[in-house]
Amino acid sequence: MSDFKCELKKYRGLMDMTQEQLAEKVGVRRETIIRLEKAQYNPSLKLAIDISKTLNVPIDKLFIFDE
Amino acid sequence: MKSNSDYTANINPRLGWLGLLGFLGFGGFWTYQINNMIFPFCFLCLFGLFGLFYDGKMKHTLKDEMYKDNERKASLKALKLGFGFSYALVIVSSSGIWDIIVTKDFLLIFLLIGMSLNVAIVVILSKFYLYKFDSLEKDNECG
Repeated sequence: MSDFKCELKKYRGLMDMTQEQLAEKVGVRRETIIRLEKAQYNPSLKLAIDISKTLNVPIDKLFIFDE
Repeated sequence: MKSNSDYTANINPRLGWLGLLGFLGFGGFWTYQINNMIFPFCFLCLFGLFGLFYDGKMKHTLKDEMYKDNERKASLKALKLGFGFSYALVIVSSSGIWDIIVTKDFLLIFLLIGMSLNVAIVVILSKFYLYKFDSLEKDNECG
């Protein structure tokens, strides 16, 4: 059960980037990006920062945790 | 740039058939009859080589953080089962019925077979779970 919401798909779409391209830029597999978008995988801080930098979006907008 | 160490090994799944070498372990029954030697039972742990089937299916996979996470989860699950099996083995061995039914030699053989199979089970299960967790992600991808 995921306890956070992930807006990765939305911001990736805005950047016109495919899952494969994003995965390659942050050094993970496409499967990892898929799981992240479905909020089924809780990323490490490093990966979250890498994605945030790549998409130029603050982390708190990408991953929204329930209060 | 990713180096080769960042990817899983390129293993042919057919190498999993090497697990059949585990049957060498049954030679222990023969050597025990001939000269009371029981060490061949250790070869039963070679059944663990069947795990190469799953290694082969996951060949050349990027070992990213999710892979490592799944690897840890799979190992932990397999080790938990292995530990439980070892504990059950010790309980059965120490139950006392052995003194009545068979000799101490048989108790030692029972333990050696059990521990060797335990090693094989842990190796196979850790590979199997890793493959299962990874395939689950692939299923999600399709869905």
